[in-house]
Amino acid sequence: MPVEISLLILAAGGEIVGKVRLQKMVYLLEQMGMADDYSFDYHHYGPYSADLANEVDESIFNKEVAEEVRWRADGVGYSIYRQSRTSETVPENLGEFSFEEAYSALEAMQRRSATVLELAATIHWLSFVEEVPNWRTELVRRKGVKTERGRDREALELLRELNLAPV
Amino acid sequence: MGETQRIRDPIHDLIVFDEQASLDQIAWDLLETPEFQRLRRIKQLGVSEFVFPGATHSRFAHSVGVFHNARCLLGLIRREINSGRVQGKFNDDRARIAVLAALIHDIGHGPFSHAFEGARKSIAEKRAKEKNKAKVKKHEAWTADIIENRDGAIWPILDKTIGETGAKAIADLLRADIPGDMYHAIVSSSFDADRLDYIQRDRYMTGTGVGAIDLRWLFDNVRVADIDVSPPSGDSGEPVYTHSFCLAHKAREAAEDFLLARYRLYSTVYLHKTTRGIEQMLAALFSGLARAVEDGKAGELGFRDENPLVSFLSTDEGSLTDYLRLDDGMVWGSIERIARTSFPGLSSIARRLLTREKPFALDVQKEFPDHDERQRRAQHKLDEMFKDRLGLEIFKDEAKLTLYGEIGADDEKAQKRLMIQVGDDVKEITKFQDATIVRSAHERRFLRYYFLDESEGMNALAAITKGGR
Repeated sequence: MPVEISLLILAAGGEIVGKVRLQKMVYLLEQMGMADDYSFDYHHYGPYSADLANEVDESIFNKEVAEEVRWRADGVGYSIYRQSRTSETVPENLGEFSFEEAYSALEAMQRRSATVLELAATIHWLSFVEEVPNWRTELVRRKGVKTERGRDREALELLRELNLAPV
Repeated sequence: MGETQRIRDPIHDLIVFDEQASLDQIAWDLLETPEFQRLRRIKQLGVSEFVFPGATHSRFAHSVGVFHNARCLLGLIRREINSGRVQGKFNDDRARIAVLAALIHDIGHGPFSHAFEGARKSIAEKRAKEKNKAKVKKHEAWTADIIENRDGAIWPILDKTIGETGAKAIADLLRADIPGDMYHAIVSSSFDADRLDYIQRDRYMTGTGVGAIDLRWLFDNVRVADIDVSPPSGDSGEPVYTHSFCLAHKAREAAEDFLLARYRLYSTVYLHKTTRGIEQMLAALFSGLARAVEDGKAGELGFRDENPLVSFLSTDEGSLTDYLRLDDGMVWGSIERIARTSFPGLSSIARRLLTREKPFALDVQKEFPDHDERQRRAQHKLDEMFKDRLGLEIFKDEAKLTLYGEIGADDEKAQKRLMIQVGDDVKEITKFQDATIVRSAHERRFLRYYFLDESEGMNALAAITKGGR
């Protein structure tokens, strides 16, 4: 059984904003060893799992997770996911992690923007999955302007905090 | 200097490659390379012709159309700069790179891309020892490899005319996830040269009545603006802007039609039930052939090791040399060869493909229209019933569609959203208070199960409809 999405959201403070953020959080947690539930492919925003997206849909359908759609000022929509079980007790573990371990990792991710999470997951993917010779060059090639204003450094910093940084 | 060349096209009429225009001459030279000529032998819509017999147009014709559109869009950028609506000078180098990238953007497509890439992914996943280590090159990556192949015919032309830096810039542009500037928007944006061609060409060639667009009016109203390409989320203070195309407010109606046209092509053509079923059979054939190759049984299927398809499927990545030898003709020849054997499982699929004996389709949405709960219950039941046989004789096909097309990732590509200029800002087209097309918060799901054995499909249908629809 995969780690329940509602519990993951609980460990993330009760709310995860945006599909991209949720996908990258699960990707990074899986690389840290929390679980081995999903298989990822590279897509427009970096590593992405269709199975995870389906699992989120199922959780919403089963009313374990509530999805609220909001719109940015430019009219672009995004989803807010909240765990919606009425009597939620904090579990001891999330997969191979204690709840506290998961909470601490998610807290570090929640402090970063969705773009930084996208970059962090992509750096990891380029280094360890695609094994490109020079991930920095490839990151700039693929993500362009997103790597500017120190966001690439912040992404690497996050990976270091999570012990996932490439050498 | 070469001579002026002309191509007649059913969509764009006369496409001229002018002897006085160096860009046109480079494009013509690229057109004549073996890599580009291979696109004549790859159908743009794969097996859609099983449903729409007229849809036999090639990726070659599409690519020429994209080149034509790219030149038109370049003219719009020049117009915007000359009018003062866009600051700065026209950048000839970037312009040239963008138009040439548009021309060769599809050069890495293989035969029956959807079925072939899907099958290769499942093969690689089975072979991979570690999860997420299944490396399957998508057509975009093949495109970059073909451009950068020093032994090929593309690289020398680019190297000689726009230099190594320019050639690399084309490959980089096609690899990038987001556009770097407005020239890049010619290749990837809400109004890029690619979609401006396929929306018209696929509609015309399939003969479908849906999806007419007012192209001249749209062209006249293309503008350049800063578009936020950051992942949509509630972050404040983290927009990431890039120059891209949007449309002037007075083109809103035409823009709505444009967006809807693409959506209708997806719902009626690309995701057609029968087309997807044939694709599933084709993917099963590719997977079965790969297994046979791995088990050393290619000979039993009448193949020799040097056959490009056998050679390509014998490794995860496959070589560029083998890849460039693959085309629709090669695949159909292989299918005909397999059909003549009695190889378990594969020969019957091959015969069915040759005679268009389509699989039985169980369309979950059709059985339980507008009833999400029953659709999901049916899905769970079917998954449980056939969990050990999916991908062998029974195939599950799932797709999610939004107004922006089929969703294959977290969200739509940011630069593909249709933004309308409102004063100094832009706004997504469906978020106007009086918008005719209002965007659903949810995707439209397509869920079908295909059965090679019709009676088994009928039994499955009875199982999920027991107790009434």
